[in-house]
Amino acid sequence: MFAYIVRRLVYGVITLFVLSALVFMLVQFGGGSPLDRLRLNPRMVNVIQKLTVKYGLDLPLYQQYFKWLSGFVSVDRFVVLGASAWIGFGSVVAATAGLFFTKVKATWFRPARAFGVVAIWVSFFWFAKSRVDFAMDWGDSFRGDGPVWDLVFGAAGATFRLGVTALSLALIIGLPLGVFQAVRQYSFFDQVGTLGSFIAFSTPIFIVATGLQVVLAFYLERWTGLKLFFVVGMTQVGYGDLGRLAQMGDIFRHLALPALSIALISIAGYARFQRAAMLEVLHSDYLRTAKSKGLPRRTVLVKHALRNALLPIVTIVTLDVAGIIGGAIITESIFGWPGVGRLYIGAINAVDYPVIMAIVMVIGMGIVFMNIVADILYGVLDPRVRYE
Amino acid sequence: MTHLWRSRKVAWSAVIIVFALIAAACGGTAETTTTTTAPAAPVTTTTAAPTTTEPVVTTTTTAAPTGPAYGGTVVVADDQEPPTLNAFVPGGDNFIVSIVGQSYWAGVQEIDGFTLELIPELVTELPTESNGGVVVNDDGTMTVTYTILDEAQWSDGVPISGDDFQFTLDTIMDPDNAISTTTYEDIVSTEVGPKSFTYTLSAPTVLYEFLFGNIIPKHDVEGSDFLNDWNDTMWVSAGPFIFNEWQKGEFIEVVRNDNYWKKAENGDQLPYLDSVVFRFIPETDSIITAFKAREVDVIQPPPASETIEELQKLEAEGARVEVLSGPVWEHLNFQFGPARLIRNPDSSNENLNYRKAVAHTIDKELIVDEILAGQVEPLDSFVEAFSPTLSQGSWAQYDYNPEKAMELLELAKAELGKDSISTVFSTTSNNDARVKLSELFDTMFSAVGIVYENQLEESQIFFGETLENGQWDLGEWAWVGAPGLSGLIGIMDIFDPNGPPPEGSNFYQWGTPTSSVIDDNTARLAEIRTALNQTVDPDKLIPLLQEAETILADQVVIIPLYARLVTAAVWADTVGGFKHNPTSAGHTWNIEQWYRLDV
Amino acid sequence: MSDVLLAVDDLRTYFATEEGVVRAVDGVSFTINRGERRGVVGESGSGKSVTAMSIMGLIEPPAGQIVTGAIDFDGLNLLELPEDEMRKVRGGRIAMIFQDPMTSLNPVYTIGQQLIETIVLHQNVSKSAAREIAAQSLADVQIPYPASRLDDFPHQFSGGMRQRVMIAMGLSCNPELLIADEPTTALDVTTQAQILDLMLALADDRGTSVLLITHDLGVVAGFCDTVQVMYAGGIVESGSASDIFYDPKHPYSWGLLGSMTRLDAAQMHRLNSVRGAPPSVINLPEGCRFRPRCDFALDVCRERLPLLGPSDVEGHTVACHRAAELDLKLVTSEGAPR
Ligand SMILES: Nc1ncnc2c1ncn2[C@@H]1O[C@H](COP(=O)(O)OP(=O)(O)O)[C@@H](O)[C@H]1O
Ligand SMILES: [Mg+2]
Repeated sequence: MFAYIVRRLVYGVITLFVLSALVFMLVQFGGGSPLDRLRLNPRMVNVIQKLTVKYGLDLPLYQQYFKWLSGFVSVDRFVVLGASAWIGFGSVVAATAGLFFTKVKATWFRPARAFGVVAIWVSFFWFAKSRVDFAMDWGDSFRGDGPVWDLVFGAAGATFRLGVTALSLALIIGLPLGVFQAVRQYSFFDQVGTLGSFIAFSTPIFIVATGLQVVLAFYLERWTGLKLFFVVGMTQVGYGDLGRLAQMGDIFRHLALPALSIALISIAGYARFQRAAMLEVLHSDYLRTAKSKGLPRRTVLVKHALRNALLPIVTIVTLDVAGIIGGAIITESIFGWPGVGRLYIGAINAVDYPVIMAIVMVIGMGIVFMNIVADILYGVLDPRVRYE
Repeated sequence: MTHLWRSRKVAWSAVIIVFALIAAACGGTAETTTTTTAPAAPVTTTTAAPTTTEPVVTTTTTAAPTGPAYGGTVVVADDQEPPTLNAFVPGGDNFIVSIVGQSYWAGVQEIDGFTLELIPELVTELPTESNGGVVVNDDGTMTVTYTILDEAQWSDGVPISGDDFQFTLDTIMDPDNAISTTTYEDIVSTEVGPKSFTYTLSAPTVLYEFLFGNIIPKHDVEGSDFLNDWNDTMWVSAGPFIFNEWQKGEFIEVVRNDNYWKKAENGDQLPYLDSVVFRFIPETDSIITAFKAREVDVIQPPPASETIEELQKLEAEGARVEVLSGPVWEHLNFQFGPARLIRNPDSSNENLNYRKAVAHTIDKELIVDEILAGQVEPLDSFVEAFSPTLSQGSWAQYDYNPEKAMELLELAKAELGKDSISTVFSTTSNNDARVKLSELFDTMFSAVGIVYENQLEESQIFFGETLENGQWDLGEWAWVGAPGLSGLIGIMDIFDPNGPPPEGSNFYQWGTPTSSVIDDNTARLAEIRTALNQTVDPDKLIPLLQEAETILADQVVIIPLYARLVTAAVWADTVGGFKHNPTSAGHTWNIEQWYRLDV
Repeated sequence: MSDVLLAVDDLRTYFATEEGVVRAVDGVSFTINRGERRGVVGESGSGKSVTAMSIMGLIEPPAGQIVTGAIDFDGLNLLELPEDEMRKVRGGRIAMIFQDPMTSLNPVYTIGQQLIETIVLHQNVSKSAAREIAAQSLADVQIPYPASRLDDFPHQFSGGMRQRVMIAMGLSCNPELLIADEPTTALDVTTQAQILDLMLALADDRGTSVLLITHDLGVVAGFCDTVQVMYAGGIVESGSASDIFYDPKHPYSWGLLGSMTRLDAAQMHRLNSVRGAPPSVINLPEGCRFRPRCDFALDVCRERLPLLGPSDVEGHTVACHRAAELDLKLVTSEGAPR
């Protein structure tokens, strides 16, 4: 397992390396320069010269690439405040090692261990957040936006919030939908679900987003006088002064529409996929066995059918992360959501290489990481899978 | 910037992601790119003259005897977000930086949105030769003196002084700061007083009007890391509001400056509002929807005719839409340099009769009807777009007249010894209006017997390469004009025979060393330009400018077509005091006068 | 030991499909006594499994419907039993083992979990007691290290071992009837007999009746007391194993016997096998369903469906118009009396 993960990581790094070179080239051949904006202003000639040197745009392409690459992989600052972070780190490593050397021959142990390891690492990072100041040296934005690291990670939180909500929505709605459709195959509900999925699947996301925005944020208020959702933004002005409950309400009212826009296509996808997976399981021999044992229908469906039908979803969800990020890129601009997608579009329009590169690489890393996580998760969930 | 997700760049970037990451995006077209040559400083202001004959809805800012109420918040939406708040670093030249900056910056001059005249802001009066503020010295230098208002102070109570002006100058001239030093670099000496600032320029120029439009507080900024410390926050305010909070990607909030030095005409302490929020929404459609839903109060959308119509429907509900003629003027032009032959080996641009024929070939009325839904008149001179009172309408001599055009073409053919004349038209392909224009041209040129071909290019290529290399035959794009004498003198750079690209901006290469047209006219224009840059007396400047306009029209160096519209909308039933300003001052120019009707 | 445990009367189970109504089981009646080992033979598609599934109450509506009939199990009418009562019978009093051991166990649960689940469901015992019972039943089916193997997953067992697990699971609740639907078909020949021996021995120990479904008459001959032969959704012949094996009265049974591979190579070239393909249960032929494939068919066979009736041998019933006149023992493939 460990060797497998290491091997996957090595492949991942190679993939990312190739990706970075590819993207760098595409950005170069895409035409335009970050300084084009200034170019037609006769008063800007000396400014352009200064900036050209500053950004290294006068260097040959391969040198620009390696300059970028060496910056990208080098650490800008890494400051640990106080011993507690180190002590915490030590204990977390020890606890992880301990968990992995403990042998308990019970079926619940493997998932529980995986969960435990994730939980202690997450809480450690949570704790360490305020004590560690970490940044990579990803250079400065060509637009004058400041350090790319700060830009990308400043926006990452918003995209994370949006993406996780969309993903949760897709899972919470899509999976049960598929399951119920499969259980009631060919029923009216199933047929409506299939048609709905098809429509949701084939509607471009910007139409979904704009439609939701106009209908639920604008016409709803117009018709009912009830302002339920907002057209744009992540928070209301004066959010900080609101009470805890009002803040949560405000977040929901801003988050619901963009998250739903992104989620809709995933809901449709998951429902269709889950339906197929569930049907396959429902017709399987071991489900017949389960029934013949006299188990209640609920147990048969949930414990035996669903548990198996959920396995392949892990892969689908991992692959879909790319789709959700793609959806966020489009949706964030429409809903004025301050995330990475919006940053990305801004960077593209300004031919802001360092920002474009950083975002593509972060997404790439996220996908490589998610794939590895999915493989591990699959191994934990499906006893038949073993990685060598 | 409508429909970002459909823009080519996004599509192209999507290819990258799909290619490598299996992500999704959609493709399409439509994108607008404006080239600018306007004076660069963000809060620049210039001599103004009333713009075109647009129906301007005038509002009374200080109405009832009690005056407007205090308090409340106004939300302003824009599709751009400032890359930085600091106008003096790269990225600070973005228009949105100064739109926001209007709320906390102050300088020597500002442009009145009603009269479009230059008015003093921090100084008692604008210096001129007649009031003694400007003196042309015997040694050929020129001295300008500002007298700073007594009450002018920073938001922390520190008076605004000559030291702040000196500090501003030093900052601009600091080689570490990549900002334009034009004209400032000609200052040879300065003199600092507590409430005055005097500087001497090496030669007389009217460009002093541009200078010191945005003053930096020495006591707050001195000793800071100027390039890095002021991107996300702002120094003490000299304007009606104070920078409060920037939620990146979302909004900037500015709050009332209780120490603001300026009072309204009726004696009210300004500003009226408690705060202003600038919300950044990349999608124009979303801006409109947010405006309709009253989530934002003031918007400045691109003036597409559907947008204007959609907004005008809201006027019944209390909105007000202002559609004005803007300073961006579109023009048809000829390339005179040798590289035009790469585009069209058969180019006849050097022939005056041919160029005159072209001027008679195009039907500007039709163009304006088709592209701007007839909302404005076509231009008879580029001067009309930003200084209409100084314009002579020199291109009016070329009416739409296909017969005349054909006669002139015959002359041209005879002179050139050609059987037929061909032209290749290039402009940006990702601008719907220009694509439409190319279609109209096709019909018009073909009608008079010119062999016509469209070769449109994506804006990045057109502006990035084609223009600089002079590789086009017949071209079309826009310039941004600034009102006043200095703006007009500034625009003359693009006809400077001594300024070929890449250093200069005479992209037409009219009269430049490799040009196919070098004659008395080009020589005279070079002379005029030199004289313009050494003269400050309006009585001498205006005849020179008019002579230049006449030469450019008679020689048909360019053919001005039309000025682009600008538009703004406000919920006038809840927000008062708003008046759009089509100049570089922007629609927030009088933000201190805004007030809410519903507080 | 001759009291009736299960009585099936005129069972008709139909499936609605896109092609039409599949009359998978069409008028089947039989009884099984306590302790009896009943074999069910017939080509695939003859309705053996559907019969078993009907008894188990596992016919899935709406496609599958038991249209008429009665199934009486120890005085309970299974077809009228409420679902929660039926669940107690299913797996508890009637257990079933399926054909393919490779896919009949849930891959994501240990076999211990799957065994214990059944035991806890049907016997009023604690989890730990259930685990002991589970270990014991694994020991009963001769799986080595039963206690530790409880924590293994199905994929860690071979096919034969898995079928032993299935048997252990089926018998762990001491059912009164064990239905084994082709339990060894998917296994290799050497393990087949072992598994059957084991299963039947364990059933005998518990006094469990067995309904052994197979398409292999040889298996029946070796292991069953009584046999019923099914063809196209109906029983065509029924009797003691030896009667059917040595004195088949229905041409179809006779054909089946012929197609049994005997090691006698000389007879191999042309045994009295059944020619043609089984009829579609959607469009059954008029009259006798076997008629199109029957070498002895007369006009009467075309007109009337023969009913299962007594023959000259006690307890041997057959559904053939010509049962009385044909002496199939003597008939060779070369010449049939007409
Ligand atoms: N769920 C079902 N839906 C439709 N037809 C079925 C179904 N189950 C069985 N059948 C049909 O019923 C007939 C009898 O099947 P079965 O009892 O499985 O045969 P076998 O004797 O091989 O066990 C076959 O023709 C089969 O196609
Ligand atoms: Mg079967």
